[in-house]
Amino acid sequence: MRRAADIERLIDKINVVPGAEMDQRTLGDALTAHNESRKQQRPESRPRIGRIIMKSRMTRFAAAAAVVAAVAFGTWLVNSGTTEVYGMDDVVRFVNQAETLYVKGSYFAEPGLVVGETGEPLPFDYQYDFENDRYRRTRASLDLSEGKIIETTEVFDGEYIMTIQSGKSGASVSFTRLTQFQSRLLMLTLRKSHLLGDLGQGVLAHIVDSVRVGDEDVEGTHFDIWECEYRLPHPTKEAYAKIQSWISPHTGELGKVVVWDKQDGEQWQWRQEVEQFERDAKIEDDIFATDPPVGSKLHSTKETAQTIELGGTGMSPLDETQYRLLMKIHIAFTLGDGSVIVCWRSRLATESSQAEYFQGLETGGDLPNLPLVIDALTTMPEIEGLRYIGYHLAYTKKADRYYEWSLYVPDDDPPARSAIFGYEALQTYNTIDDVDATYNNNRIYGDLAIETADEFDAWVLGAMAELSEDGIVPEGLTHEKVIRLAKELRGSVAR
Amino acid sequence: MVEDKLLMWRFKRGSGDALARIYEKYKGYLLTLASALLIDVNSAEDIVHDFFVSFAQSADRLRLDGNLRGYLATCVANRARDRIRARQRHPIGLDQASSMCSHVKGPELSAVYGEELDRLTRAIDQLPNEQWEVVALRIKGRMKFRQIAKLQNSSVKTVQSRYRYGLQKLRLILNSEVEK
Repeated sequence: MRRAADIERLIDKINVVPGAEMDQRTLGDALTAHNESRKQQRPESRPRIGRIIMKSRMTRFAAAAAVVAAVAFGTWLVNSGTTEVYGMDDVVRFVNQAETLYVKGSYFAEPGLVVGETGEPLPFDYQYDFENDRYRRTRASLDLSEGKIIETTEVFDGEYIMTIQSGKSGASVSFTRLTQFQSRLLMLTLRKSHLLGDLGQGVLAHIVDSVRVGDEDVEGTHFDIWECEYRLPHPTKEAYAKIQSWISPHTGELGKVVVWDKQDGEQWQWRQEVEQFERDAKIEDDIFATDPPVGSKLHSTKETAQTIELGGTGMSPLDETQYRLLMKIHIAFTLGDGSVIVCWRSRLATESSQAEYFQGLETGGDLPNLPLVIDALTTMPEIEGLRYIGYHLAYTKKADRYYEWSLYVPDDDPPARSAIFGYEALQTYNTIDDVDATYNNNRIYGDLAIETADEFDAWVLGAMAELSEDGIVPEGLTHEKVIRLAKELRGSVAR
Repeated sequence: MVEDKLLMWRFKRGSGDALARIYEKYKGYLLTLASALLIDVNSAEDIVHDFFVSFAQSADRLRLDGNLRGYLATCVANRARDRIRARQRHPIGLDQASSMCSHVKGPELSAVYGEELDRLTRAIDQLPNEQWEVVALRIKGRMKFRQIAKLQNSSVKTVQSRYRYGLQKLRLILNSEVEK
């Protein structure tokens, strides 16, 4: 008498193995279809209606209201009990307010840089505790010299950054120590530019301009798809990024983010994807412990950890002397009126003191006549005819280094900061020395936006104190005074 | 699981090798499942062939958040169901039953499998479609009741009942044949 189990065993015996003929036919036809469909793909072709109506603030409000109304109606129909609808603005606000964030995803390295026929995605995993100024970031990358994938983990406990790098002979560990100001600045920078997987400076400013382009149901959850495109900083090519974000209109949660990029009019290439994004989830304290893994090789310890100068070269003073002429931009700020404050230093290796350069300088007056002078700035990409003319604002001194703080005032209406990806420093050489060995980085990408007096005090004066003996800032500098000065100077330079 | 994720990632970005690997990995499973559902290897081959061609064309539109095997099984099961609805059910002949047996590994087993499978196919033919579908998806598809419920647009309890009743009925039919 057969039991149910016997019937199950009988059915389980059914096992059909495809023959060679079926394999050939099926796989052959599938691969042919696959190749054909790839030729026909137009990833960037999608309705542009959403983008066209978003050009002006007025139409943006009207369009947003229409979207909200449509989604709200849909929400009522599915009986969620709420008509609140979340969009990209809300997501950016949530990100800015989050106390912890967990971001996990993968990115695609340049095809030409990988070993093998096709590239493979490289994972990243970032955990941030903004409340306590801590993070843990693990990222895979390609070691071109060894032709293999290496993994780097950075753990920041609020004072020390422990860097763990996997390699041929095991893990190696090094430590860097940050000052309190550097720690706060680092967390601010990470929140502004690295949350969605190192997308670079200003990404949140671009992403907030996303438009809704579609929707998708994923495992029972409804998501709206938002999209933005913006130009990427590249010295020689026209490069663009496109970001698509999946946002739940009911909860404001971010489901997924996909990043594409293209150069010089080529096809969009998938570059990166955030698969998991959690806000304000509890993160265990031991994630941020900075104890070196057992058996790792220590290049430095907390006791021997170096503190890098704010925005410095990272080289020791001795190593810097290999450059006969050195110019370094340490930090920059864009004020609400479009003017720019830049902290920079320039010196010749043969100079014993620079005190003379900084004598007799006046706020709002000429720049010091240093070996190399940043006279003005242009935007990147360059806006025809627009220049930011430089004036002395203040100087600070720490150890034997002099830091010039200059105010650059646009001679015409400046663009919104989100419309450019940085500034280029226009320089004059005042030295007659041989300048073959030069350290000179003349591009500014990571400037901080300063809108309020509180932000000015926290970040501009904070940076000045950081690069000053005993943390003393120049007298009389306030946000209000600098804005007023910039206005007066603009009146004199306006075309 | 990790391999499947990586295969899907590569496939969606245009890798023919990944598509071939997916086919190699799941062809037996899908063909067996389709054969079990349709009780017809020839039709099963057609379904699996058609599915893979369609799958290959949809790389850029695919959004797969769950299990790859589950996704493939669901797609094949849906196609099998469409095929069953489209045709009139006929008891399959001995030649079709033997075509199922001919692919079974080990020639010494085919004689036994042939007889048993012949009886099984006759018994299956007397089962309501929904019941056999649940049984086949559960046993050959290795699918959970929750997944089958979603596919059949039914509750889990209903699906579990169909499974129980399906096996019960098969047992009764096969036992009565043995007694004969």
